[in-house]
Amino acid sequence: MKLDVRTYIILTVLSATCASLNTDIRVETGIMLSLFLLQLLSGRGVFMPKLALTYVIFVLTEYVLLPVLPEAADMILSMFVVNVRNFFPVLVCIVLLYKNTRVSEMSASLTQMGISRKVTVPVAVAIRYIPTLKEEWEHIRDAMRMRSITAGITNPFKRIACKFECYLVPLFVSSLKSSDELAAAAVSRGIENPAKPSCRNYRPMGMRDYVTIVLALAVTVMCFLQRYGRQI
Amino acid sequence: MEPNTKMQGKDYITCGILSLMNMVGMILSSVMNISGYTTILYGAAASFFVGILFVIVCCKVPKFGAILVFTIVPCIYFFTSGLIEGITGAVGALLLAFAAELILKNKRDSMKRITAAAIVYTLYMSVIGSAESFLFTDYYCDAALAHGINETVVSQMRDMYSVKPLWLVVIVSTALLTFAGTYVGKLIMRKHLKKAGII
Amino acid sequence: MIKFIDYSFSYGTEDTESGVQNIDLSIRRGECVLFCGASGCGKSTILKSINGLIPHLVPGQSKGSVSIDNRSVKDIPMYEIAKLTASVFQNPKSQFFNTDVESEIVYSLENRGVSVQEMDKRLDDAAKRFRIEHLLGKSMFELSGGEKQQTAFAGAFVSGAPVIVLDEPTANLDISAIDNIRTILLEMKKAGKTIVIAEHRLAWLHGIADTVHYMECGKITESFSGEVFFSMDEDTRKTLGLRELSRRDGVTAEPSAKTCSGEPVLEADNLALGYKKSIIQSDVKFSLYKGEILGIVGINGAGKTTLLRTLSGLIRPLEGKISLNGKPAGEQERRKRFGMVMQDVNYQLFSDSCENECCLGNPGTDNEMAKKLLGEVGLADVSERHPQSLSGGQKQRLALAVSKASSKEILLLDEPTSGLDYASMVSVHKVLRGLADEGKGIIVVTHDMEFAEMVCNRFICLCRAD
Repeated sequence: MKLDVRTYIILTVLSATCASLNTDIRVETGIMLSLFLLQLLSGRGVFMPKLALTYVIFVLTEYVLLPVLPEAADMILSMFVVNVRNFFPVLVCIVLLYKNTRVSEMSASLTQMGISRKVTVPVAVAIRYIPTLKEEWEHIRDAMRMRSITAGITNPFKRIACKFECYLVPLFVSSLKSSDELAAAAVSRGIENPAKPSCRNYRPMGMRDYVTIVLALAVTVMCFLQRYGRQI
Repeated sequence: MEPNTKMQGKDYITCGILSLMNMVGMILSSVMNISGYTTILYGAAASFFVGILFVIVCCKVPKFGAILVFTIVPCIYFFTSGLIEGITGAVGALLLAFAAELILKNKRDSMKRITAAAIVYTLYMSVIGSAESFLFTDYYCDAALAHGINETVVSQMRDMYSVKPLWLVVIVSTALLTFAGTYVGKLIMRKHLKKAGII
Repeated sequence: MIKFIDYSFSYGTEDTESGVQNIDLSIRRGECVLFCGASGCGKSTILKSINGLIPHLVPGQSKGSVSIDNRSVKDIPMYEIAKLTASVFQNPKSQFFNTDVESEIVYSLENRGVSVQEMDKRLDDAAKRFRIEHLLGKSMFELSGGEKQQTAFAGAFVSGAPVIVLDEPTANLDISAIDNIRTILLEMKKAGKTIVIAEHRLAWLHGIADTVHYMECGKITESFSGEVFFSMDEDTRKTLGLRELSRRDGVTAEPSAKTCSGEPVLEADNLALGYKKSIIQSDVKFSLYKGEILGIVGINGAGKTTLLRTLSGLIRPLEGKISLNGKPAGEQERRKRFGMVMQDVNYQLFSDSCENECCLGNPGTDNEMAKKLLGEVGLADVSERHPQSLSGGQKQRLALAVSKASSKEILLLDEPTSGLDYASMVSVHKVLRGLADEGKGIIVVTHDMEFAEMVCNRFICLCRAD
């Protein structure tokens, strides 16, 4: 079951809102379970078992491990554990959005919403570039492992500066080169055409999109009332 | 051909990729949220990366609108990170990007202007990013407590954020790190990118 | 169809690429024209002047005129040129925008606002013609380099442009992928497209190119008909500095007379290669002797690169052991003693000049030694240049110099000739020979049989496990 791009975006915003409003772990695990379910329903490769496992570990650390550990450990760890756990609903939604949406679908929806190329092109390129950036990073890391870059430099600050330079420079060089090549390919395929682009991959929102949004809204309202209900 | 001063197709692509790197820099800097005291340094750490990228954007795409496009991806990231905080963050970042554009105007080769614009631009990390914790300290700390952060840590945070001059320190330190970032950016430009013929 | 009248172009910067001078040329409708010559001879400048990247994207000084269908390229906006010409570029990785194949193929139509029915019709037609139905519906990131290029060709065809411009489209591809591209090109010719190609690898164009222009220093010095060009004798070919003109299907040459004896420097025993739990190759067994250049050939996906990564210590072998000079060596030790020239050499150059690149991380090397090393690999005159501004072949030789400076004992090269012209190929060959004669062991992974025969003493062929 794949939903519309806009549904995923709304879902992400609402789950972030819920995460900041809600303080009840039972509600949160409920939200997380439904999001994981949504991932499972989306088809192969969207549900990431390791991500789910990490979430479980974080919840268990916070509610089982930290209370029995000495106060000092709680002081050091609690902020980290809570912040990361709190970010999980958003993270899972971003995974949903990223894995389920093709760049063309995203551009199509945005274009149909009347957003101009000035926004859709950079966003599309950015999303398309995420795997490439990761790949570039891995290549550079491999190259660095094969060569002891900092050998002979004793000053620790210089060592850091040297490492920093050697990671960043090839990354910038290759990204800027790729951006030039991408631009040449894009321009020679008429990306600057002022006509309104047509969208082969546009699908209007369907029943399941509206149902998902309504359910998510209901949960958000519930979280809001639970937090501020008494004051109103 | 005359150098074109309007953004063209290829500029949107370059800015899109740099915008992605802008967001990655911010996400990496959120390592700072690991503990109560270092949270305050998040803006400063992120602004160092942003400063480097800012110089590259200005030199690679010396046109009006480049900084705005450079801000798009982080804006979307802000927007999805929560309703109220997200919208204020996104709108604030765009406004400051616009301010940076106005500072740069058509003189995009002057390093002084670029540095000044970058410092204004990264104000969204120090001013908008810390507004909630400094202006609504009690609300912020209560929320942290309610979410389950250790009481002692929260009370330390409360003490820290109620010292309002500290906000000024945050703003100044962010500006300083932005300055450092633009300086490093300039070095990378001169030593590598220009020499390699990429810009 | 296409006319150049006394056309000159220069990039305005000193030595990046020289541009072209006084080109007079006309290309008929439906003709297939090949431009060849050494790197930097100006052939890609000609191509860019046809597809409008010059002057619309690349700044510089131009004189004379280029026209397509009697319309001057200079005066048509880029998005209108996109209806007349469609291009396929060299690097398959950086010419797609969409993450799925179908959208990628129809992208130029979407930009023009063509209706969805029309797009579907053209997409089906192209997929059938080029036999790429199996790719539709896949993600671009799942495709091999060759498949990405096939997609790019389909996109160029679908756009309906009468002129197809191809800038070294096979630089990074293996033989079977080139065969597929050849089929596509024959289809395009049948459909009446005018095709303009710049290439170093020429053999696959036999029977496709109608006219061949040989370029030198920005000028067209000789023009041949396709038949005459491809029947050229070997000596003329070598003096012109061209890659071979007829293809070969396997290695035919006798193994080099120089036999390697003594103790092997590297022994791989019973290796299983792969990532995590998926084994790509198992039971790999070979040894490498001092002063030997060992070629590893095989089709894409057979695990050649994985083998290099395993040997070099970047990943662990799933099974088996690797010994250096008779002693088993762990990953860390191998990383220290192996030098590697990666397929994309851009990622392993960090410094701001070639000289500093040799000194970086090698405290024993001073500037004098660096200069000497650069001289040995033929880079003495560019020692002050930024490594990233060098040509592909120069970068590889620099990476070899660096491995030598850090006294690596065994050198691994991954596809060193992808995208190189004949002269660069010969100079990489010379450097490798020199290193082998000093007693280094060298392993070269390649799908370029011409190069493999030229340098290697011995071959191993990796086949796909299934």
